[in-house]
Amino acid sequence: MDEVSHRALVRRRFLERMGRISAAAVLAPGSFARTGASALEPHPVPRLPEPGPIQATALVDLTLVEAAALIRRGEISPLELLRAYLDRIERWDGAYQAFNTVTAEPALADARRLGVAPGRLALRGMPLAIKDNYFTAGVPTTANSLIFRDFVPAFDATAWARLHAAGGILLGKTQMGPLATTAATTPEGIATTVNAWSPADRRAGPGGSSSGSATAVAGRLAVAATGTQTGGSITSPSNAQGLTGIKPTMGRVSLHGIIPLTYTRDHVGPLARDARDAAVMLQVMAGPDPADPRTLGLPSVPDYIGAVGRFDDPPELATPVRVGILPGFLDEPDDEEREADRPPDEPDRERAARERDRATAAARRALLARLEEMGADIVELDAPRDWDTLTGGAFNDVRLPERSEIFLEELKADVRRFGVSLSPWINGLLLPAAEYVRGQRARLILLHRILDDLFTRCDVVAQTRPFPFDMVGLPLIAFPIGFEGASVGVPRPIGALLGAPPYEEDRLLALVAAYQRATDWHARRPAEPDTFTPGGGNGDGSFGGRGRVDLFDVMELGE
Amino acid sequence: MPHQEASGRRPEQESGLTDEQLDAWILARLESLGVDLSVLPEGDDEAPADRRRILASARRFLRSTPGTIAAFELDPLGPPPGVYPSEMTAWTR
Repeated sequence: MDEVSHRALVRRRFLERMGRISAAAVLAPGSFARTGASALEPHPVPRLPEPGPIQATALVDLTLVEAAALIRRGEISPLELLRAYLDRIERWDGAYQAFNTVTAEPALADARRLGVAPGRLALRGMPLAIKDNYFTAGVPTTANSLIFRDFVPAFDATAWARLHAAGGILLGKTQMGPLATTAATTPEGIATTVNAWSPADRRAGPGGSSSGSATAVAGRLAVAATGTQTGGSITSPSNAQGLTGIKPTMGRVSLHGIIPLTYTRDHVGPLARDARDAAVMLQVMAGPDPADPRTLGLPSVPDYIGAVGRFDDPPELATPVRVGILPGFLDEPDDEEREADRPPDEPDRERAARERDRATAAARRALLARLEEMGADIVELDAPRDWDTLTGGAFNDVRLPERSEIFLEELKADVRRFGVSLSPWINGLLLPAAEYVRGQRARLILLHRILDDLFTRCDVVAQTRPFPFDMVGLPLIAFPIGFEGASVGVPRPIGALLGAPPYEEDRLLALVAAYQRATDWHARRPAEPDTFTPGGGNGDGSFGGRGRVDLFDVMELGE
Repeated sequence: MPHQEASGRRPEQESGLTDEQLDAWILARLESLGVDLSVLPEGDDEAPADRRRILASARRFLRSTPGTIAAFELDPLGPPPGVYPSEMTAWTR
């Protein structure tokens, strides 16, 4: 082919690709029908790790790695495992409200098919909960929003398509904050999902916006789940409910077929029971997708499953790891200051927060001590220049115009359809373009400072919050490091967050898997809901007060 | 990519705009786009959203976010916008 023809071909392919991307970005739900499933290359079948001795006494207590091994060995069938989960959903989802749709019949058909399907499938018969902003062919996909109330996609999101092709079974779609903002509520702001560790007390929130996915896994209504994260929505609910969740590097997992919130900060990832399960989920979900250019031209996907090691490996680290901590990581609450600031009408909430802060500081100290025992070096870091400004609320707000542009036609049609989430969409229309561009330039400066000032001195950084790593697309892992019972009177998990340089999810998984071989926080399970309110809760199958999220809460706490 | 260090904060300018001036700007901007807040109730704390709270949130946003970002001075020859910062490392590092 001569050079001119070659250029023409390259240009035509580029235009075709961008045309598909543009079509996918049109948001009116009817327009989604014009887009299609990605033409995916067959995914290599990962070899799953072997489980250790299985302690679980019920099928729903098995980790994904354990359940997959029992199915692989023929000791249980996909149908038996699925029925155990469907029975549990039938019994307890009225209390948890983890799902907004349960797909029992298609799931049973899938389980029967997988019971006799030939060949090796990594996730054969694994019942999964999928966040309701993932396209699922033929199954309503609402993002808990009035805008998508009647939307039924014609194809699967790439991430779900890969899980399904690997043998995963769709149990149902999970409750979420409307359009992936805040914790799970109805479009009107009525809270739905509870924290599986404290279903009767809403002071212990489920975390958001992947609330239902977290509650489904913690409450043993699903073996693993998927989430999305723009500002903490995988890692926060994972930390709130004792799970191991991964927000990968931008581009590591395709966003094709995910209802968008932003172009530049949305991420897809798993919520799982431990690092080994998370590694398996991410291994299946990750990889290039022709329909999402953000996934192309990147370093190849590492061997996450290999990174987590064998169940009987010692917890001592095979290679040295430097764990950086930023100023404030070990701060204790200032009781006098908090007392002075306490609103007179919310003393109990303030007291609970103070107790939790104190327990969190103790758990973080214990985490660092344990990591040192395992052979890690703890490195105290100075915050990079302008850290508070660049990671503060104003620069975090730079994401808002993206959602407003995505949903502009819906905003023009009827703002009432945004329900309780409307405010950030309106504010996004008000940020001038010059500030938007300056904010995007500042993100690159922030990334350079993270790489140059932090990651030259350490390999992973312990975080106090998901910002700024999800602002600049760096990988994060959330995992449990302890429990406290003082804040609301029942045991609640305490979680930690670690971040790494781009595309080093394998380093995070390896470290957390080693930590989990030395601890058992990840193996603890919450008590059944009726333990908390003997007699049946509110009488309608639900537990605890159905709280309400205010419009201002969405601005303060939302994605 | 060389790291441009010529950036930093300068004191923010306190906006002296009144609520009325900001409301007029907000509503004019929205009207120019065809976004209509008049379909919302004027003031109803029980409603998922009302004009009073939406405008209050918008005023708070305008009094903080654009000014803070604008006050962060950048070298004109410094980094280009990093829409996908982490992905840029695959090309530059």
